[in-house]
Amino acid sequence: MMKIWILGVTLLLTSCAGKTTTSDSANDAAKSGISPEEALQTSIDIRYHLGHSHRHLQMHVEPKDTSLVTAQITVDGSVLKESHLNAQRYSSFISKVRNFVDKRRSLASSTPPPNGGECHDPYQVEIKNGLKKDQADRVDTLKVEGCRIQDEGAFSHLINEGEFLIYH
Amino acid sequence: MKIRARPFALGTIIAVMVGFILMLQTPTLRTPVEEMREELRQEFVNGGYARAPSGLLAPEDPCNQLYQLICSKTGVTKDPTGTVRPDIDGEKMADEILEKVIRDHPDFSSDEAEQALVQEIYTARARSRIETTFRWVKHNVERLIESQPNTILTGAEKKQLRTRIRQIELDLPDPAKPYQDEPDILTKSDVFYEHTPDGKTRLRVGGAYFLSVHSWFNMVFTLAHEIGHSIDPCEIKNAGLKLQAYDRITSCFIDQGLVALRKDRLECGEHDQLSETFADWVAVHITARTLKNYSTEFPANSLMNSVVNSVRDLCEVENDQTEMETDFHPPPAVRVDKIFGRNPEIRAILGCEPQTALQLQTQPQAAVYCDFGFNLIRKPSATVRDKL
Repeated sequence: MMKIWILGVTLLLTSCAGKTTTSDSANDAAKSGISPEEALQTSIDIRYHLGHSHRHLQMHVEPKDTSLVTAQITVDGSVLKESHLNAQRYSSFISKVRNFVDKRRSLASSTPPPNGGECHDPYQVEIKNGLKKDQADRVDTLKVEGCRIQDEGAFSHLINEGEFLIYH
Repeated sequence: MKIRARPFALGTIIAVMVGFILMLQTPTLRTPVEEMREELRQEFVNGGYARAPSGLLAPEDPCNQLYQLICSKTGVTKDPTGTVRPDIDGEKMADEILEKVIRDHPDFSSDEAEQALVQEIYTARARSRIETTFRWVKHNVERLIESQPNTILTGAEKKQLRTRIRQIELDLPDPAKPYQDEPDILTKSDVFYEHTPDGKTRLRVGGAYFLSVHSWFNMVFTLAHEIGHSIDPCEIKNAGLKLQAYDRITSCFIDQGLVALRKDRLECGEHDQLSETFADWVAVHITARTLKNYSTEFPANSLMNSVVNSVRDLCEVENDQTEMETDFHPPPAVRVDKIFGRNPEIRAILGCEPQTALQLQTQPQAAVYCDFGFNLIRKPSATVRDKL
């Protein structure tokens, strides 16, 4: 009985959308199987339009210190925020970006154009793996393009989590 | 005669004066437009901002150097209705508020932190200002359509456009459920138009917009631009409507270089600037009418600052080196100089001479201001056909 109760609580907690906590991050990292070492070979590049602004969120390993992840948000070319992330939190975010890209790629062929046909707020998400110099020929790039309104808030939540990571 | 006439004249004068005073004190019957204008006056001009000092008049010539005049501004610019600061400053302020919420309430979940952020930023006053402006702008976009002669837009076409304008909703976040499907925009300075999955249209306002913009004129331009999207040529095309007036104005935009003619241009495709140029064109009309209302009331410096504040954020794309390939906004110089600066009402407000017949002949590219009746007045120049 106790086991069922614990399982129920665990399911409830994991299903809560929008919560960004350290334990969530650890769980995600564990679930995705991305080790901090692997994370340090991965870069993330997200570009998007919102209203009249062009935004860019990028996370990559610092070339001079390969244990350090630099994250930066720019708006219309001006830096809004720059910070450093630890590998564990970064690996958690990578797994979320990968899940997002995989899901969008699988849906891309079946998703109709946005209502009215025109996309006012497009985005582009790119993940590159294999950044070490000796692995340059093995760089694996995952890229997806989409429209903010089409994915039921998934892109917005992804940006929100990325920004939360950079700010806090 | 004189003695007898004096009491009569004096009595008449007193009666007229009393009547005049009573008339001033009696609420007059106002039209809905006058009511709305008064509401805006109470909201903005008498709201404490009117006493804000105006900056110095910029040395640039507004008739020939409008882009330089507007886009050389940095920091905060003030007009009698409020201030405008760079978008990025508003976003930094929003993030500081969010950080403070998290610092003060370490036990908050991200949802709870966002709720607190909404309560802090989307105050009753901020909501009231944007809602009032939204109603004003919507009404005036409808007026723009209704004012077209029937030879330009038929009654049925006007009705179709009016319906689209009326359908847009202003969607501000509920403090209890702050934009659950788009939580990231609470700290953004953008206002944007979008279709919902269930086929509705709405405007959403990023929280940082309330922190970077307090000027009514900026709100008017921004909301008018977004509402303009509801009737832009691409939306009309996607809705399956075909309006000759739209073919004419599109032809004019291309003729005047307001829409970039890239080699791979596909009308309303992802690289196309047509919808953004049209939305700017609508916004300029509404802003010009709004500024005109105050052109006789504000001193020159204040009026100039109102002009600057209305379109100042069009400059901000200028420094972007990370532009996505899907750039659909015309460059700031085109938006400020050619779309905004050529509007006859804006030129009149700035005290610029109207284009003369001689200029129309000698500088055809610089002289035309686009409207729905473009092709009925003049044909596109041969140079455009050459470009195409």
